[in-house]
Amino acid sequence: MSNLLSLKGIYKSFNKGTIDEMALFTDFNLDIKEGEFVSIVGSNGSGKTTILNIISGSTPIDGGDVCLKDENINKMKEYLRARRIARVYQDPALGTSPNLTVLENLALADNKGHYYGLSFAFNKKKKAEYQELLKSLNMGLEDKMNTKVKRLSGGQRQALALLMATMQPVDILLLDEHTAALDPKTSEEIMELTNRIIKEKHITTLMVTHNLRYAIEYGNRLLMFNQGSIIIDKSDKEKENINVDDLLKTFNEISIECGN
Amino acid sequence: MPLNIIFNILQQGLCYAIVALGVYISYKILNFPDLTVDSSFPLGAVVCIGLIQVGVPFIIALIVAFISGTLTGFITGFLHVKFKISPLLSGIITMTALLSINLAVAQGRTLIPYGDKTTLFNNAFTKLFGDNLSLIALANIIILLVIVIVIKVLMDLFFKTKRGYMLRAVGDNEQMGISLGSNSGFYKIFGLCLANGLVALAGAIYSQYMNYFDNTSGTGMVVIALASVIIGTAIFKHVKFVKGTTASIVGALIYTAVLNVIIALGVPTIYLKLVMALSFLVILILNYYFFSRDKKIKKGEKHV
Ligand SMILES: Nc1ncnc2c1ncn2[C@@H]1O[C@H](COP(=O)(O)OP(=O)(O)O)[C@@H](O)[C@H]1O
Ligand SMILES: [Mg+2]
Repeated sequence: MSNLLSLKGIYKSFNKGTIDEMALFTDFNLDIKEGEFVSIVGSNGSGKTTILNIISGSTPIDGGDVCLKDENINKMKEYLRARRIARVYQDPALGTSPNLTVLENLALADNKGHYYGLSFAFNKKKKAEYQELLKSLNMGLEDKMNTKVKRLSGGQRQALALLMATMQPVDILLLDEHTAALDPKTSEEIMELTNRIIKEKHITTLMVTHNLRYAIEYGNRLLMFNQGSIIIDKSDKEKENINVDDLLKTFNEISIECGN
Repeated sequence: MPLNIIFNILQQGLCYAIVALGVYISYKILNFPDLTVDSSFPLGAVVCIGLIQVGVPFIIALIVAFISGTLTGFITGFLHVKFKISPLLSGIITMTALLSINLAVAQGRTLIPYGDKTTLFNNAFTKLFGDNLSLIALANIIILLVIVIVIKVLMDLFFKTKRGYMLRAVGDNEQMGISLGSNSGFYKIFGLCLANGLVALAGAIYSQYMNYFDNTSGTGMVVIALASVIIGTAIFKHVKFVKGTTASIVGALIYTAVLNVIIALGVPTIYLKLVMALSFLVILILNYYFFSRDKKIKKGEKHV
């Protein structure tokens, strides 16, 4: 099967030309196949967020190629990539518009990739549709259509952000520790919801998570990052054989190597 | 209060309401404190009077004044979006440059009278009201009220469209606009064009109301407009059905009333700007103590 996304020979340094110069990625390669649900773990600062930024176009690269469906998107602007690459952030404030209502946010997301012109943002029929969608989330959002998003709980906001990110068809979904800011129970609910949406819509997904158990339980491929390299890459059967203890052990080993 | 003061407040206040509607877009919707206003206001006036003096009908002159304002908004927005210059500095650069442009358009004159040229306030309709000063004021108020309501309704409709939603979203959370596949810079520039178009239109209308162009008429307009928007939104903060546009109009009327009453109480007019600044300050302090429910300004929330 051909690759949906491939990162070829990526170079990325920060603070170039200063004493703080740090080469994060040197010749980084990664291929993602259509339909894969990849969970990514790794210590803080190992480059997980940066790689998502590179894919979504919010961080420029120093060398290499980012290809989506065999098309080189190196030069494609972030907002244009966003029409094909959806993203949910750790911070619930980033994925939604806080001073707009739930309904207004949904109406905007529903038009993603289309022209934002002078026609009305939604109609009665659409409103009913959104209500049904919200109901299916089971987060109590269907009664809060006219509530400003900033008044929602963190869990409700992330559920809404997930729904908005996946409302229109996308090539790939990027999740960056999107349950990390939530309490354990809500985190669990959002993770279940994430899994359900990804399964139902067959969305190719990269999910960075701080939770080793989620990384093992969900998805069909697991990557561990360390200092800008992939040190574990297991798919399908191989992935099923990994357990939390193995992962923790590797984690500790690299921590000792790094001297923390 | 004498009737003529009330009439003055309504006429001036409705002119300022148009400025407030513009600044509502830049300040409230886009979260962009735009100082261009101080110069786009007189620009609209000078463009308008220039055209009327060479025989252009006043309606066309008003439309061109609006367009001249959108250009200033475009420049400020472009500086901010393209070169990442802060909103304040982008506005200051455009505002300062325009001071010369305005004078150039006015060919160096700082005061230009309309004389008896046909304007919004001097035409077949207003002549129906004869020379009774109160009746003339009433006619002016009706004309201004119609204009303000038309602008308000158009804005309310616009904010219900897809484009209007996107404008609000970009102002609220720029990353969200990008995530939705939109060029957020384009929307910021677009919003600033609209905002300054309205401000210039207000400047043109105000000059017709005064019946002369005054090069200094824009000085302090930012304060008037911000005060209006802030008063309006504070008062109606917890009244859901009152729209931001209505709130800004009411705010402009209240602020104009406050200024006029203070001057009517005998404060010499040379202190007008001092009064403007101090009452703005009082408004900000009142807003802080009485209208903000939670006084701590949370992370990510706007400082008034
Ligand atoms: N904008 C930036 N400027 C400087 N250094 C950065 C920047 N973004 C990331 N880094 C550095 O790159 C490394 C990887 O960061 P990040 O990708 O956020 O790691 P992770 O998400 O895996 O915790 C860190 O050492 C971080 O300090
Ligand atoms: Mg991170």
